[in-house]
Amino acid sequence: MNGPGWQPPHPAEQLDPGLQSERTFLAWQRTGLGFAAFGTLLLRNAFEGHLVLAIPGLLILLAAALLTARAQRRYRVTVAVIQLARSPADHRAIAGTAALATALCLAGLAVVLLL
Amino acid sequence: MEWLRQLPRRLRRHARDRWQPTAHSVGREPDYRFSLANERTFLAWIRTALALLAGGVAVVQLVPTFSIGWARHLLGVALIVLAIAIAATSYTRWERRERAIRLGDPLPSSILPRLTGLGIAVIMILALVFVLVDVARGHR
Repeated sequence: MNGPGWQPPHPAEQLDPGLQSERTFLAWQRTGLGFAAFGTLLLRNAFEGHLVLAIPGLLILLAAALLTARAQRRYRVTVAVIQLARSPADHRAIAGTAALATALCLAGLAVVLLL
Repeated sequence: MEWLRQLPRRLRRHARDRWQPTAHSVGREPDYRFSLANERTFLAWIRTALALLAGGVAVVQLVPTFSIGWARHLLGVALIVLAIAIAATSYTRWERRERAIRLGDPLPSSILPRLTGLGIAVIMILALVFVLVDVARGHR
């Protein structure tokens, strides 16, 4: 297998044995899809007369797209960081996601009470 | 009541915790599997909050009215309040667990699973009552 011309794989392509980084990547993707689903629900309501909801709906879809794109990049970073035996924890991404979800929930409460 | 009696101690501990260094600088670099598991647990809570939120909005805007006029709003607001409780505390929960993982401490306990289970059970029972009232009154 290690014949002439063999090259060690790029650090970002040596997966961890338990595939933890892949499962975490998929969890981020599912969360992004969850945000997108809620954005779509708001857009659906926007088309049914509550035009105000189009703005938060589109913003959430944008945030969901950013989250999913970031998950892809973060996956490679995580795989590389694990090779270096460093912690892959990223408190900024966690804080951002938590803040976004909280803002969404408050917006949802406003929608239910006001519209 | 037990909770109320513990409140001063909890507040003191909270004030002390505020002065602790951030979670990513204490202890030592942990096993990456624990950090990633903690991250996935955080994401699962966020998705739970999103599902409750979507359910709350949907029950108000998509479900046909019950014979009790305010029933949909009660269910929707209750679902969304539960979602707010989960989302607003999610970062602190992740951070406390990350700190414990780095320091090798036991994981801090959380009342959120009990609260969520109880909250959803109460909301489901309310929904069942509203449906039964509709059936009893012959409301479509």
